[in-house]
Amino acid sequence: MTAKQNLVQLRRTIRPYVGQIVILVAVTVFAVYESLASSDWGFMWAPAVFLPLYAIYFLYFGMKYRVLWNKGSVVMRARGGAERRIQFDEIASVKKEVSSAGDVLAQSRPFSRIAVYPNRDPDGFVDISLRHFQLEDVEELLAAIRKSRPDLCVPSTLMNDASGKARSRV
Amino acid sequence: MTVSSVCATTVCFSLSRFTGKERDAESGNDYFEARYYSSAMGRFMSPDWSAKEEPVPYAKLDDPQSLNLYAYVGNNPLVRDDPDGHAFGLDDLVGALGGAAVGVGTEVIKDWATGQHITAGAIAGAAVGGAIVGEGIVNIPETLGGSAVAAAALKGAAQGAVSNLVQQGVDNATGDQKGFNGKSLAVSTVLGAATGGLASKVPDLKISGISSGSGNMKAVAQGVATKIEKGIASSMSLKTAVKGAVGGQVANAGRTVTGTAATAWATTTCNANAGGACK
Repeated sequence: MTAKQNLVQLRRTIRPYVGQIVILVAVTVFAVYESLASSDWGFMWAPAVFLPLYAIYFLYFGMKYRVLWNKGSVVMRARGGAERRIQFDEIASVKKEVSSAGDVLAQSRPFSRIAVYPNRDPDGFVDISLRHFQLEDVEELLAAIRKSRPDLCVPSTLMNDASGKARSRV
Repeated sequence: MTVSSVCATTVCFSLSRFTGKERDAESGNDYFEARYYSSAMGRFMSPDWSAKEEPVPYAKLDDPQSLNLYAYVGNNPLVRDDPDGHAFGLDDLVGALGGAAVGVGTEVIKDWATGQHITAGAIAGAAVGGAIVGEGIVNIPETLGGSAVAAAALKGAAQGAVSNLVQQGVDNATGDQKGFNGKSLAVSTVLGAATGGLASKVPDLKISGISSGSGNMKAVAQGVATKIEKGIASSMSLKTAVKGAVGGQVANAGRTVTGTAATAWATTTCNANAGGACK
């Protein structure tokens, strides 16, 4: 069995999409109301055409973003770039980060993330979004990195109860 | 592996405690930036505080737990966390409200610059469109490792369409507009796409007197954002706040400039089609 076949994918959450969907649904309800009130069905253009396209797009994009790992490496696959794979033994640092203003404007990285930086190429980092993936899975990945690289300072994402069982936060 | 690295590992890992905060080896308390938390007692060691003097900081009268300034996240740690010792984060709401505020600010500046009448619909549309972008910024990065232009353009198109729809709906309700203008929607959508793509490529700008040294407009806006994030916005001087506001607007100049042209064009088209009914 190859290393690729052993890759485990971080499970997704619906959290990144809830806010957008709530706004789009609210706008759709408003458009329907306005159409009925004014008897002008032109107001349904946006909900009927543009908003579904947008929803399909951001859901499609979200599905393209995946982080996978096995006992020796972590891999990021995302839209718009080649697959990035970092072997655990080539990790330079693991940091818990929030996007800078530049990142926000460029929209190039997840807002809240665990970033894994390789020692060979500082721009070859892997971003593990703390919103797109279940934190229990992320913590499992971080535990594997800690085990493999005890010389690194690896941040935590989760709270633990008295028994040490991980619980996700909202 | 050397002995020193093992020791370093032990220290490093043992420092990270409840919600990843560091533990002070001497007192045994966890450092939450604004104050220390005692895991043994299950509470903070000092009352919560805010930079602006208040009798009960962060109090909500409908939530009695908020009056306990020693409690951790309102005594509900299973669903909330406290990154800096002040209060639990509501970043989605902050993203949406921040986006709405930027949208409204941009709309007001645009209308003021072009001498247009500011309608309730324009404000509502800008707020909803801004909320989509702001909330999306927190949750949905356009790309991870590749070009962001196409993705940012699509989000801009959605923002343009939604803003225009809401604007037309509210203006119809308030009597500022009569009927639906499809061309206006189409123009807003296309130009939203164009400005979205442009905004993702905004260069780092430096303006003497506003940004300084190696800092650019993004850096100025970032400094203000950091202060707001850390809950010390009230400690900002007026000058810094103005710089931040200007910095944010300048950093978003592509959207503002193109948006101004788009609105002027759409208004002209609308007036031509509706016999001057549009404002």
